Amino acid sequence: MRDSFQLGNRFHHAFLTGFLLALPSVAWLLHHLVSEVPPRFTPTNFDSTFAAKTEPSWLDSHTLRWSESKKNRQLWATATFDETGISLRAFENEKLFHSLYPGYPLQEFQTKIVPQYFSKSFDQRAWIAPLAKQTPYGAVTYRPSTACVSIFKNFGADILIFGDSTTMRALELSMLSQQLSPSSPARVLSCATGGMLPETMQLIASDLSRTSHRVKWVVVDINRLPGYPQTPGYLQEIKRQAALFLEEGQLSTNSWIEWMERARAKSLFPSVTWDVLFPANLQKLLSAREGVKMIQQPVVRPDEIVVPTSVDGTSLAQWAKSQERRTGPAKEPILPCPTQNFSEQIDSLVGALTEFSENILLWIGPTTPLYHYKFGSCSPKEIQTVLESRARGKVQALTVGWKTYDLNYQDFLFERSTLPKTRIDIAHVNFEGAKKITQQIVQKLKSQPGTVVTKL
Amino acid sequence: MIYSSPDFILLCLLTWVGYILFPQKGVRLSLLLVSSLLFISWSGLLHLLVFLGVVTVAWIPICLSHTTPARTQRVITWAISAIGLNLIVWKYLPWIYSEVSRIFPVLQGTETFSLPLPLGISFFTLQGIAFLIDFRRNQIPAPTAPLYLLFKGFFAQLVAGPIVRHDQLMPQLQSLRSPQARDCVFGLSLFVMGMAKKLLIADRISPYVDTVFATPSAFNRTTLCLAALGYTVQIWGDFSGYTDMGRGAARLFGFHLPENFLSPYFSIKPSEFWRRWHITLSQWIRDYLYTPLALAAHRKSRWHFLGAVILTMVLVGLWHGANWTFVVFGFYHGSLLVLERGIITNRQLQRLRCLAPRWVTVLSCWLLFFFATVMGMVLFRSESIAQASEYFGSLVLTPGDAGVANSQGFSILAATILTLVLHAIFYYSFIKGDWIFLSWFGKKLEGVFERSRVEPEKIAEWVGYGTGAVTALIWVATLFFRSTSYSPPFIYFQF
Repeated sequence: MRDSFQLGNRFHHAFLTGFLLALPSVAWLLHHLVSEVPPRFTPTNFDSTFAAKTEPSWLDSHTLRWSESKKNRQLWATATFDETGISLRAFENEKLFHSLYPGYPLQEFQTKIVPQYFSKSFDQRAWIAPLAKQTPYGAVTYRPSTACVSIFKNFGADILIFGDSTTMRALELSMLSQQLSPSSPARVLSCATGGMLPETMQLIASDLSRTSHRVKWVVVDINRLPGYPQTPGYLQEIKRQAALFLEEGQLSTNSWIEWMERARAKSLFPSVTWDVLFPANLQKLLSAREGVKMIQQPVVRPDEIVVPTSVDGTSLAQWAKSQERRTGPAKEPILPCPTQNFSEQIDSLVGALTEFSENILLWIGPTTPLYHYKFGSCSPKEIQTVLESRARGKVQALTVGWKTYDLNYQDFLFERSTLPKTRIDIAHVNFEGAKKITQQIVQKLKSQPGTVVTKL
Repeated sequence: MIYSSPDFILLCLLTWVGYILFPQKGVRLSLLLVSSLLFISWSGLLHLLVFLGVVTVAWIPICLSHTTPARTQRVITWAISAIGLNLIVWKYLPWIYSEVSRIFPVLQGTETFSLPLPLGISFFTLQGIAFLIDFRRNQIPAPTAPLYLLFKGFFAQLVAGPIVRHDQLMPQLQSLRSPQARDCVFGLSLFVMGMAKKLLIADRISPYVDTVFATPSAFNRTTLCLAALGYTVQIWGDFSGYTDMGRGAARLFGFHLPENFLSPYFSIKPSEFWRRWHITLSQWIRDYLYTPLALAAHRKSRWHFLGAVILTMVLVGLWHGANWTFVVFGFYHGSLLVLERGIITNRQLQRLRCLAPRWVTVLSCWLLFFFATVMGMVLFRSESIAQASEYFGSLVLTPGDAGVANSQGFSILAATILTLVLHAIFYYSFIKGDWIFLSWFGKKLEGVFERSRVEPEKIAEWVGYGTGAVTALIWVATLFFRSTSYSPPFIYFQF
């Protein structure tokens, strides 16, 4: 008998037929159902007490249920489904807008910028001083980094910021703007986004250099360079995306985003995860489907450490020291420090930024020693050496390490909406920490020739 | 490339299509070889080179057996030593170095010494050693080089087992028969179930467990207990899920890989647990380590024998990773085995059985041993002895006051119940051979079908459509509801 594939008896035949027929229909059905089901408020993802506590007086009464907020597009604060609790609509409140985009005109912004960046499709959360001041830990928010290209093309900027989530949390933009230029706030534009890699920075920089605008300073946080540990698959995916982007040649960032969005919408099983999307600048606000997924996100992120409630402010340092002893530094690094690789990446990034910037400040958003022990593969000394070797001409470097900024674990302490409440975020500072860091950045920029003191 | 990734599914699908279209053995062998090498090299060139190095070293004695049979025995010994040494270098040398430099700080350099762990090294090393020992015992004939390469590198068993022996896989590779519809049905079902175990059970629990194990001293007793229970469920879902995916993928090509898990958490004693948990490893250890050791020790004294049991289990623990926690884990399970074999005699058990009904004895033993298993998993999960001590210290003496949301706790309990239900289905369907669920349904449905006069073949067809659709539903649902934000790698990848 010829050895070939046989369909078997009726059961097997029917099973395979049923499987193949059901696969697309089930996928379509589930996709449809999941997209339509709105996220629900449950004790896991939303704590009403927390929302009430965190909202300042001018924000209360605006946090409504999903269905209501969908109906009323005028709302500028709606509940989200992660620990931040609140999503903000930047154009609905002038004060809010200026803390997000200091130095920019609100009215023109509304008319000139591509509206979809600020529709519900994109994340509009940001570090907001008025919010943060009224809470012990601040409100963590993000900007649509994709919009920064359009904003730059339309308005330009005085200071441009690149970096990852560490940068986003470490710099208080309105403070930076006002302290550099008290009379008329400088236009500070942040293109930072969670997990932004140098490849992405370079892509954006290439896009920005094609405009006629020039900036005074580009502040580049290269936190992601020193061998940031990710799985090999992650890096491959990023590189693949970057290569695809470059292959597209003349495609603008906007077209790229649209293309990616279309591809993603068509994809039945999106292979790109949020982690991958972030560096590709597709920082989309949670749609209904993603909102549902957010509910299932870990309560405590891998870069957070739960602090026992018995540990108070004075004993925090001691407690953190014990954690440091347990975690490292003897622990083996996940990847060896790729000094050579990131030196080349810095050079190439600086080359791209020089095209449209008068000065460049290279720095590393400070994290805790615990973060370094857990994730870092390069010692601060190694990074410092590389940074300092690049500091010449229009390029400046800021000393690495949290001591430079007078930070301590208190500056990384957060209180969350979900249990366990008190945690140290080993990678991101709270509002108090952000103020200290911003102050140092201001000092550094002011100390350089061509100090930014007036409207740029 | 992991089994749940689209890359693997695509690779598997393309290879399968080629395998079906070209029934020639040479083409099929080449296809499987290319896919397997691609699978390894996907993780990096180093992984491929280390793998090929081990295969080459293991192949030398087989080659020499044709030309100089007299020297074969000695060369096999050298080859086994070289393969073992290779494992020690990649897996244990950094740990040994750090431990030695801790004792002698003068040896400590400015930089930490580390090496990447080649993909599946622990698994293909054991497989290679087993092959060479069997070959030395003249139990197996010398295969051809491509066949041997495929035997070692077949993508469905390379990374994390099952540790397949010559007689389990080589005859199938030699025949390379066409898969039949029943193979595809079984393979698809197994693959989908494995993926669901990994993505829907293990990955969902992982964040909770990671949180608690990061700072155990912060949490209260309930949370610590739930996290230990959660990890017990997680590692089962993770590892057995992975094995199921591998076995399912192999079955799509018509290959039967051995079962690696037989409802392990239904065990009522340690020896039974090791016969049901990571079965292929246990069998390897039994045949190539424990039996020679125990035989030698048994001739001396009972205590030597019990020592051999503990030593074997310590080596099993150490196989899992270069860390003192694994040594203690092995010692712990070795002690449980000694307790079972050396201290609690059959007569004492008989007495116990007389005191209470059988189901009470079985249930008590199960509860007791399940508790012991969960506690052992704390050692297994801890990153250091200090962390394990902190965990047990908080659990017993000074618990913290932090807890996690009730919903998270409930999800752990729900996952545990689901795990036990799956154990029960598998146990009663495959181990006991009592298809109690199906026979119950069958009896209920019998009358209905008799009345409606439907042909049995028609019923089989309907059931086929239904189960096929349900399998598709589970697969799609697994992909939809997996956590896209937090997907930890397979736990056994690190071993």
